[in-house]
Parts: sequence; structure tokens; C-alpha cells
Amino acid sequence: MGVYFQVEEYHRPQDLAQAVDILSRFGNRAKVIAGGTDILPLRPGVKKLDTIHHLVDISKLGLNFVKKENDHICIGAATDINTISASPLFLSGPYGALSDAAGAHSTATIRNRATVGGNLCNASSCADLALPLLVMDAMLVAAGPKGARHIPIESFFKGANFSALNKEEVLLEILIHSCSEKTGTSFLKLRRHQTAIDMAVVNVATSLSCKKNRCEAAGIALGAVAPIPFRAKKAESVLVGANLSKEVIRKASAMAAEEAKPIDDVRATAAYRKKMVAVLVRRSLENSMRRCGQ
Amino acid sequence: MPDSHIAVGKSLQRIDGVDKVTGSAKYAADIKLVNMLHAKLLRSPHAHAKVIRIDTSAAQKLPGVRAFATIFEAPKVIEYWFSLRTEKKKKQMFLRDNVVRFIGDPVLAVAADDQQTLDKALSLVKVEYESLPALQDPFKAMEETDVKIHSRGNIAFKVKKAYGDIHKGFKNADIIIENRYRTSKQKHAALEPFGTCVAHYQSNGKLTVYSSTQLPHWSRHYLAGALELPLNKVRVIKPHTGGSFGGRCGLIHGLEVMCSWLSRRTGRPVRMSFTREEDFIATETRHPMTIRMKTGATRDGILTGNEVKIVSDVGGYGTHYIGVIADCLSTGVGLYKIPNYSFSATAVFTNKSPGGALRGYGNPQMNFAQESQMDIMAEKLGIDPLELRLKNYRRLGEIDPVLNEEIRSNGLKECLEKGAASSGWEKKRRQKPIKGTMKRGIGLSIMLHGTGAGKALPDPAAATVMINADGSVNLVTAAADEGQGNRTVLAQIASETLGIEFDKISVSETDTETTPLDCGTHGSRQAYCGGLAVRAAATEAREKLLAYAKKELGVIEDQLRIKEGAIFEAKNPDNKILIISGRVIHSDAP
Amino acid sequence: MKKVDIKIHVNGDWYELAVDPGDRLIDVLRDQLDLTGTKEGCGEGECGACTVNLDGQAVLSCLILAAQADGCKILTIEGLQRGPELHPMQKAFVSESALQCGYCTPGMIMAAVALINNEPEPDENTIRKNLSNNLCRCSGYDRPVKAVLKAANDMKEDINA
Repeated sequence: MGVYFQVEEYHRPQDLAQAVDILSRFGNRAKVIAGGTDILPLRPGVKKLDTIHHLVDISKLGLNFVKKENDHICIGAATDINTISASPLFLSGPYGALSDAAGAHSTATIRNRATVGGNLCNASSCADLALPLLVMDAMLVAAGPKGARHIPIESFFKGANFSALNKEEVLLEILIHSCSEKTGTSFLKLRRHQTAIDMAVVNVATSLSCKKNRCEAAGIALGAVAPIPFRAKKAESVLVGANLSKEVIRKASAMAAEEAKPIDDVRATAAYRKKMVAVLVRRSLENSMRRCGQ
Repeated sequence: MPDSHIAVGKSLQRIDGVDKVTGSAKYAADIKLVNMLHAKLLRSPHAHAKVIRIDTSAAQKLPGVRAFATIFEAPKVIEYWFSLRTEKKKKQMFLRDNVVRFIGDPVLAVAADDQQTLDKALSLVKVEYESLPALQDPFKAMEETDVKIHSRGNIAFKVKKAYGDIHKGFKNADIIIENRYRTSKQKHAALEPFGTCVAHYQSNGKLTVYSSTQLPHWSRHYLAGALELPLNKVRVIKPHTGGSFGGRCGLIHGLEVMCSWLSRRTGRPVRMSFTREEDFIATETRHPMTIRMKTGATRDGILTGNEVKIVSDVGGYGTHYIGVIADCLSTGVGLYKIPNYSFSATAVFTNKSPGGALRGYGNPQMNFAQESQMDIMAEKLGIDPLELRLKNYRRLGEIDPVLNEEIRSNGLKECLEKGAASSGWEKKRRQKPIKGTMKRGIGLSIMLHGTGAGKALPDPAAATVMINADGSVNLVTAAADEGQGNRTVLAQIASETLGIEFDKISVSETDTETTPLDCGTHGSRQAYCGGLAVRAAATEAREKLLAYAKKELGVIEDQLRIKEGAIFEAKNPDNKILIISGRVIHSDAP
Repeated sequence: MKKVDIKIHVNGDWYELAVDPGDRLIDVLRDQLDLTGTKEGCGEGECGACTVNLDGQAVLSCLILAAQADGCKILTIEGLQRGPELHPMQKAFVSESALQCGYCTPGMIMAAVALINNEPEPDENTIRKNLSNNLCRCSGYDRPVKAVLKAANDMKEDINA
């Protein structure tokens, strides 16, 4: 078809150290590739030959795993999203949002290749897997020339398609601390056509930790309504310490909508997005409540 | 004819099904010829510009770059099969100039050894443009005299037709409604992008082009004209096609002509394949229209007059703009009996991708306007929308004013009544609106669409039926199957007419070299027009065969049957003749 | 530009190939191995016409670098039949009239084959979900779904026979 993907050199490092070394050597001219589903659609135009010079393949460095440790769950960055979607670890209340998000990401076929790390490092404001991880206060581990460093997920997203990773760093794994059973999480995604491959018009994740009807902790993460996916802190504070009545949920949802700063684009208007934030947050909070056994 | 149906009315497997599910069916991009080059177009980044200079000197030095062709030499095909009627009109089909008229309009084509070289070569080509003001709004373009998209101005076509007296029509109306409707620039989005061409110009001066076209013989004519070759030196082969929906009615803008030009220049086969993006931005779309409709009716719901004003947005080039408007007229005037009708339409050039044919042609636009108008009228009159249609549709025996012919069959009333009954129309229309944000509704629409082009355009159908010595059959037809299965249908018709089993019929490839002149596939015409040709050819073939058998068996034709390679007497099957030997066989003969 | 040496297993045979770093799996299959049954409809992973099986999973061959397929087992539409004997999925698509122009068909069949191999008795909802990356502009989706259900049933009976 004449869809040529220009790359100068493909590297398959034997281990992490080698991967980091290659990235350090080539800096801006190198890009990490795992599943490739966000990379390959990048095609150079003809006027300006944008070549991706070096691709560093990390898909076979043993970063495809989901492990339950004593006090946390560890997900390898190159874990394909279908594995996360099918993992029994995420089906229960505290981690349900991750399963929801994994199942809502693109299509089953793409999810066989697309990775959770790729979704995070692409750093789109509507990254589906970013939202549950935000409400779960996940910790990201990156490896660079100076060794590994921990990046709290809230500090990971810096701007549209711009993450906190340095050019020589590789995202290694995602740590989610164990949650009590009294926590329920949920994720919802609004697309223009609910059966299509489309990106979110609005997506949200919520987390509620409850004792009887009283909220002990809350997390509300919003996507596609700001340059980055983010926690709606003011909306969360409406919930913490409160009895989870319909009115409180409604108030928190409305506050979340206020915190949203969407723009008009081909998918939807800012006004519509704001309205939908309130609707989705309310529904997601209701789901979260059910999942924490309330 | 046989006593019971052997093919028609039976559920049979399509003849190309196995090829398609095994991956062996070849589409244009699957075709590889020895020594083949690849080609790509450099497209204008400007909506409207003069191309002042093209400098390929740097690109030429790249190893693997084999040839260029520019719009200064290779013509654009800008009119379609309306123009095949006369030699004078044929010459108007081709345009060689230095103007680009939409973003994506081709400027030049390059042929090279591989894709990487193509991209590099195009990046090294320098084009000097003089940007011109671009016109996007057809209403503005219509009035604009300083900025001319084509030398004859921005109005591609204008027509006015009147029936009866529109003023009288409105005078006699108890109610008049007036609305403006707008339709969008739709794309076919066939799974196989528009398009891929493999062109091979051989040293003996013969050009063979593989390209998915709905109208192979017309594509042959256009290519012969564009490359100034005699028809016998042009061969068009249509491989399997991944859907067309009207978008491949002939040549694709910039594809086959440029590709053939490069092949002629290099003496090698050349393949040019558009990406999905190129398909979307630079190949034909539906004509967007603005339709103003002013309709008058009596209190009882009898339409007295309709005034229709259409502005059709042609884009930078148009090939179907006349036919599309003709479609609007015929659907308007043909479907409903409105005694006073005023129709005016203007097709306007704008600096956008070309408008063309898309499923329905001009009907979807006109129907959207017309049927919406009918619903609004029904609501204003307090009449059931179904009843309003039944009161006003053009019945059996009426004269269709556009075709000037009597309507000889019309199942619309029965269709509407059955549809209303099975959908629960009456009951649902009487239901009170449901409370809440989710509502349910029921609506209806009627339409009229032509099968083929009738008298409007050259629209021949032809077929050849060859009965082989063993009683199997080769059916030769230029019917272009885009996926709808017309080759299977034509085989069914041949089978039924001949009385020879369906699985004994093979259908030819779609190749202008070997198939008789047939317009091709458009306007749902193959089952009817192609079918009539196949039936005629099969009838004649059968008659010839039976005339011979009649002599040998001493039995008249309508007492003879053909089955499993034998012709036999229906009442006495032992009295038979084998097609292969022509000898009479008796049951006790060795 | 440095070529990459790969070994891929395609439809039962190993191939040693030298590929460009930017070559996609679909390019290698169609251009180097002449397996043109796999189609390109968009080049962006939206239409699914390029679907093949990689290590038993449905994947979009236009979104995989050939280099990344090194050491993998690929199954394309051409690899389904046993000699002249069609795979039950191919038979079902023909018998259920689940195709018209056929351009989406190889991709759809490969997506369905991967599904059945991983989940032998999927319900209709599961089938639709797993085929949601396979667009069709001619037939719509009801008949392909019926074809997949029929194939699943036929394959179950073959196993039990």
C-alpha cells in the first residue's frame, strides 16, 4: 500500500542493562518498543522525512508478568493488556477498576500486543490504564543508567504525551499496594460509539474505602478532560469522612466536573465532556460502593 | 425450459467463495509482475494553486529512481461516460494544465525500485506553487467571477425543469412549507482502499492495466484516450475487488493514467497503490448538496406543488455531477405525482476533493430532503405520514414525466401496507410518548432508484455463452463483481436458461480483451441488464444445440432436456444423445 | 539502515529472512513470502483486514515489526487448509454466505480461528467482542457471527467424532 515505516536500526537488547545503554547512546533518536501498537501507526510524511532512527525492543526482557507479593502486586511494564484483563487478581473489588480498564482498552486483538507500560509511557490524557492506577496510588519503577528509581504515578504524567521518564530510562514495573477488602474500585469509559476501537471521550476511575456507610478514603481520576490524567482532589475531599448518600455522591460528581478542564475536539465539545464527567463519576462511585460491599 | 427450477430461486454458494476464504483470490495489490516498479504520487498541499515549476533534478540522482510523470504531460480524466457519445465530447474528457484544485490533487508521479526510494525521491522533488484563493463554499463559488477553478468558470452545470405551473400549484395549496436541507461529503470506505493499479506497457505498444473498476470497458476507453492509444492496444483486467459502492466507476483520480504513463516511460510494469489516507482525501466522494424545498398541499393531504432548488458541491473535478442531479430530478418527479413542479439545480466547482458516484448517486440527498419534507408536511396537516405517501405516490398506469413512459409495475402500496402491518406501525404511532430521556420512534421513507442508466447514457449489456463438448459451459461477461455476487447470479441465469446444472457453469475473468462490450456494474444493473443479455445468449446457445439434437432424436425442442452432458427426450430419457459425441445412444447400446 | 536477520515459522515451515528494521510483519508475509491472502486495509490497526495468528493469538500484522516476530509461530489464511480440505471456519464462512467482496474475510477468519482455538465454545457476545477489530463494509456482522458459531459447533463434533 505504500505505507512505509522508516527506521534506521532495530535493537534487541539481551538484558535491561543493554537496553538502557542503547538508549543512553542514542538519546532522542531512540525509542522503546514493546507491543508496538502506538509506535507503528506513527508514519512519516513525505515532505519531512521523520525517521525513527533507533528502536529498542524490550518485549522479551522478562517484563511480561503479574505477580502477587506479600503486600503488593507487581505488574511488568511489558505485560500485554489482555493478560491484565484476564488476571484473576484484578477481578475483585479493590482492583476491579484495572480489570474494567483493561477490558475497555481498544479491542481484544490489539490488547494481545499492547502493553500497560506502553499505555502509560504514551502518556495520553485518556490513557485507560492510567486512571485505575492513579486511584490505586500505584508506584512506577523505572530503570536508567544510574539504576532504578521509583516514581509515584501522580508525578508520572507531565503533559500531553509527555512523561517523567528520561530518554535513557525504561519503565520496568508497576507496583500496586495491597488493598483492604473494604475498598471498591471501578472504571468507566465513554466513547462516541461504544463498540468501536475509539479513544475515550471521557474516562474515569474511582476508588472508595468504606466502613459501614462512611467513606474512609476516596480516589477519583479523570481522563480526556485535561492535558494529563489526574486526580480530582476537591471532589475526593467531599467524600472523605462523609456518609455515602445519594446527595454526597452527586455533590462529589458535580465537583469533579468542575475540576475537569476539557477542550473541544473532533470527538466532543468541552461542554459535553464536563457534563459527562459528572455522569460517569456518579456511576463509577456507585459501582465502587457496591464493590466494597456497601 | 425445464419443469422445475434448477438454479434461480435456489440458495447456491457464490462461485468465488472458496477463493476468498482461502486467500487465493487476487486483488490488485496482490498482483506481482516480474521486474515490477513501485510508484507514488506527490500531492498538492494547496487547495488551489498554479504549479509554476517542477524540479526533479535532485530526485533523479537517487539510485533506484526510474521515471517521473507530471500533470504537464499526463492528462487528468475530468468527464465520464456521458462524453463517450461523440468524438468531440471525448476530447473534452482530458485536461492537461498546470493547476491543482484541492489538497491532495496529484502534481507528479515517480517510479522507483522500492518504497523507501519512492519516499526519499518525493522528498527531494521541488515544486514551485503560486497559491490561488481557494473557494470552499459552493454558494460563494457560484457568484465568484475573479477566481475561476476551471477555465469555463465555477458553474459546472445548471439545469431548470418545469412541469405544470408552480405558481398555480402554490395558489391551490392550503398549506405551504419551506425548508433547507444539507447533506455531507460521504466516503465509500470500502475495505480495499481506492485504489491500486498495476500497469504494464509492453514493447509491442500494448498496455495492460490491472485495476479494480466497475466499468472495465469504459476504463479501457478512458485510458486509450488519455494515452492516445488505439483501443485494441489497451487491455483492462479487473481482479477481485474489495468493494466499490460507486467509487470505482471508471478510473481513480491520478491512479491508472499516471501509472500507465510511468510504465510506458520505463518499459516495465509499475504498481501504484494508494494508502487509506489518500483514499479519504483525494478520491471521489458523494456530492454534498443544499436542497431548498417549498411544498404546497391541500388540507386533505394532496400535494399541489413542489419547488426544488439544489446546489451541488462538485469539488475540484467532477465526473458524475450531471447524472447525480438527473437522479435527483427523476426521484423527485417520478416518485410522487405532483402536478406542478419546479426543479432547478446548479453544480458548482469548489476546491475540495472530487465528487463522484456513491451508492444511490443523487437519490440519498434528494430522498433525505423529500422524505423529511413529507414528514413535516404530515405533521402540519395532522395526517399519518404513511397515509400521506399513499395519497400522493405515482401509481401504475401513470406516465413518469422524466422517462416519458408508462409505469408498468408498481408494488409500492403493497410494500407500504405490508411494512406497516409487520412493524406495528398503527399501534406504535398511536402510543403516547414515553417519559424519560430515552425515546422510541418509528418512521418510514419511500424511494425510487433507477436500475442502470436507461436512455441517459451508453449502457450496453452483452454476454457470450459457450457450451463445451462435455456439456459444461463457459459464460463470458464483463460484469464487474465488486462483492455483490453478480457473476454468481449471471451463472444462475445461464444455468436456468440452458437447463444445465449450476456447477457446470464457469464465469470468465473480467478482462476487456475477451469479453463483449458491457457497461459494467453500476446502478444495480447487472442482475437485470446483464441478466437479460445472459438469458438471450443462453437461449440462443440452447436453441442451436437442441436444433441439432432434434434432427438426431426426432423430437421437438420443447420435449428435450439437457442434463449431465446429454440431451434426452423428457418422456423417454433413454432416447438421448451425448453432446460430446453427437451420437444417439440407446439404453442397451454399449 | 541495518538489515535484521530473523527466523520465523509460517504455516508450518521455518524461514530465515533478512528484513529492514521498518518492515512490518504484513510486508514480509505479502512481499517476501508471497502470502498475499493477508490484506492491508488501513495500515493503522483500525480495520483488521491484516489479522493473522502469532503464537496462537489474533494480532494485527500491520502493527508488528517483522523483527519482533523473530522466533514466533505465524499462521495466515493460507495455512488453514489441509491440502484441498478447507478448515471448518472457511467452510462455515462459505456455507453461511458470510462474505461478499471478501477483503475483510481472511482477517475475520483468522481472528475467529484464534478465538475458537483459545475458547472452543464462545457465545455470541464473546464472538462479537473478539471480532470487533474486523470491519466489514459489505456484509455486516450477523452472518460472520453465525459462521463462527457454526464452525465452533462443527469443530466440537469433529473432536467428539
